[in-house]
Amino acid sequence: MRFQIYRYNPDVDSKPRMQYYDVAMEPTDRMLLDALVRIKVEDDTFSFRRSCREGVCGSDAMNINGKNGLACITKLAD
Amino acid sequence: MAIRNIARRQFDAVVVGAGGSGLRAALQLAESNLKVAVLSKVFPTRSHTVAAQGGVSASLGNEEPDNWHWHMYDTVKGSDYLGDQDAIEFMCRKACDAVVELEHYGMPFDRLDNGKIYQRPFGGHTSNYGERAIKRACAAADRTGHAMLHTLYQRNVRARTQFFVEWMALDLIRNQQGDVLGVVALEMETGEVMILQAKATLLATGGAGRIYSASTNAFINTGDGLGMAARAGIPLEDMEFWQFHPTGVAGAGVLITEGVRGEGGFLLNKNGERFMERYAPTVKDLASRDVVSRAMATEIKEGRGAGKDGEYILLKLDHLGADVIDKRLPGIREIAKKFANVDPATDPIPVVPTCHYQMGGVPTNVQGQAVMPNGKGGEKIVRGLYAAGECACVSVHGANRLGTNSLLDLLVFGKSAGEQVVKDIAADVNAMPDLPDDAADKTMARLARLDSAASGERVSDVGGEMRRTMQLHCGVFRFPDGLTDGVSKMLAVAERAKSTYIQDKSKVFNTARVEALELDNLIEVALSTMISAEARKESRGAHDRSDHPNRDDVNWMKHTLWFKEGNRLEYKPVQLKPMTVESFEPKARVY
Repeated sequence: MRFQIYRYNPDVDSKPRMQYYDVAMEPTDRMLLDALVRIKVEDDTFSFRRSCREGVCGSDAMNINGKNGLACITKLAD
Repeated sequence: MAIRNIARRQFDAVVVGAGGSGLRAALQLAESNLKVAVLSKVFPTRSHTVAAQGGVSASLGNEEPDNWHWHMYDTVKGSDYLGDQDAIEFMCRKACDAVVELEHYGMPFDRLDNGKIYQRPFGGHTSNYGERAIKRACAAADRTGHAMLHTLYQRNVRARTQFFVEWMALDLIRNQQGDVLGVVALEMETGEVMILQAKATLLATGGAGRIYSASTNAFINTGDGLGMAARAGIPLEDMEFWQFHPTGVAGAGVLITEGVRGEGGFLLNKNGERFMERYAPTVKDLASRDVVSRAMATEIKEGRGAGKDGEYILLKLDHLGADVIDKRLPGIREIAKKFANVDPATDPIPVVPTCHYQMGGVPTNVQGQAVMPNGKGGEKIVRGLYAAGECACVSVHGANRLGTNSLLDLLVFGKSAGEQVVKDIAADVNAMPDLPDDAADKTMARLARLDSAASGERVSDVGGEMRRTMQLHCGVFRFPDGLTDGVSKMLAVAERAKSTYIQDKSKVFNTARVEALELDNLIEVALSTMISAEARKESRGAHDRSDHPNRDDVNWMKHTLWFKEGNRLEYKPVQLKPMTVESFEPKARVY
């Protein structure tokens, strides 16, 4: 699956930029958070907040395809 | 690196962790005019207390008669007689006051028609010393932890508590005399290191379920307080006892509260049999969690599990009706739909026993002071160090914890530790003791290694190996070969963890660095668990092994203490004598 993510590294970037990632997903991956975790394994400069992974803490709130939501309960299929 | 080159701030007290116990302790400190810093790796309301669902126990008796002595009996029995009875009496006596205080703070409990707090039945809680299930769990729908954490946070805002948000404590500072003088911490946003010097350091860092592959725990539950204590030479108590919650969503690990069974839901095997009637004839599905988890694991092992590969058990609650589910269990209806693709109002939820809670931790007394052996057969207080909540081991949960007793633990011991910190600081009129010159050396060395390594092991690889080893060798059922292999495997993983490598060497919000540091803490927890489990030659509570299937009160009525140095084990006796009442004699544990 291909993901387009808005990234910013203050040490290096003068302003934020879009970056593309291609990730091979497993059948057990259901939610956007699963994909983000896979991206981080390959590129560990990729940082984001996350905690409960069940939609109750609010840490992984982000703007997803134009709408605000929680990555851990946003289905990849959608 | 000499400490004069590191930024430093002084406080009367530093609290590490802003979950339920950290926030309750902070409230106690806020009223005292002390200068306090509360550190949290995440914004306080993201702490994992927020995910607790079922309830907080107290013998309020709002619908039927109840008393704290029955609650104490249930907790002692639930602990399989490894809990210290004085600490359990302390907690159960204070439960009603703790819950009422929380209600006065504004916690939005569910209510009965007469306005009193709604209470539901819960596993292991009985009337009249085991007669039948009793309504003791005070609940806010199935989001009790969420409501509690937000209530405590709001109260801290009112008290103007000073929070250091997204700061990770890395190590304790200890001097030659063994006193704890504060922490070295990392500000995640800037990557800067700071020494927070304090007369009192209170660990409230929660659990470490992330040592297992399948767990109900959040990513942040990495046992940081335990890692810090272990590296500072403080033993970890009863680490072999890990609770596997009976109902985690199969394949996802997300928690489905015991409250479902409290409201009348029950477990079925593939034959549609309510099998808990066989394993626990009196209270059936509301038996203690270790009993239920073992029953489920046995059903699965003996080929009666449901699902394509017979790998899970069914939790049926549609008979409660959509109205009851939406009123009392709305959160788990959402969870089942999202993570199991099932609407529990019509279909059963696939569940499996999932690693959930750490009964062990930093040994403390009832006042929250950290304690350790004094070398002369007794115990000494570690001056300057306190612990409360899941990261502490008082021990009120012994070999197995009852549901709803953890949220209670947070309130009672968060307050107790906070009170003791205030007392100890008031009694000590001395100025802040000097920091040893090498106070931050070990921490700076760990950071320097990560910053300079040009290659090495991937954190996710080493972490994955650790999790697989724990899942296989130290699960619900344990076997002698599995335990011995597990120890050697874990020692090897611990070696690998010494050469982890991170690509990202930047300073700002570097979560790769945070995850590498968290792994160091997880490794201490995993090692202590494996070694303590292998050594305990009996089955008790959540620790079940095939070669010693029975409880051995003659040889094993004692707490395990694991020391990082040399992976050494010591033991200390269980406190059987309560504060004021008669001791509950160990009996065979039947539900």
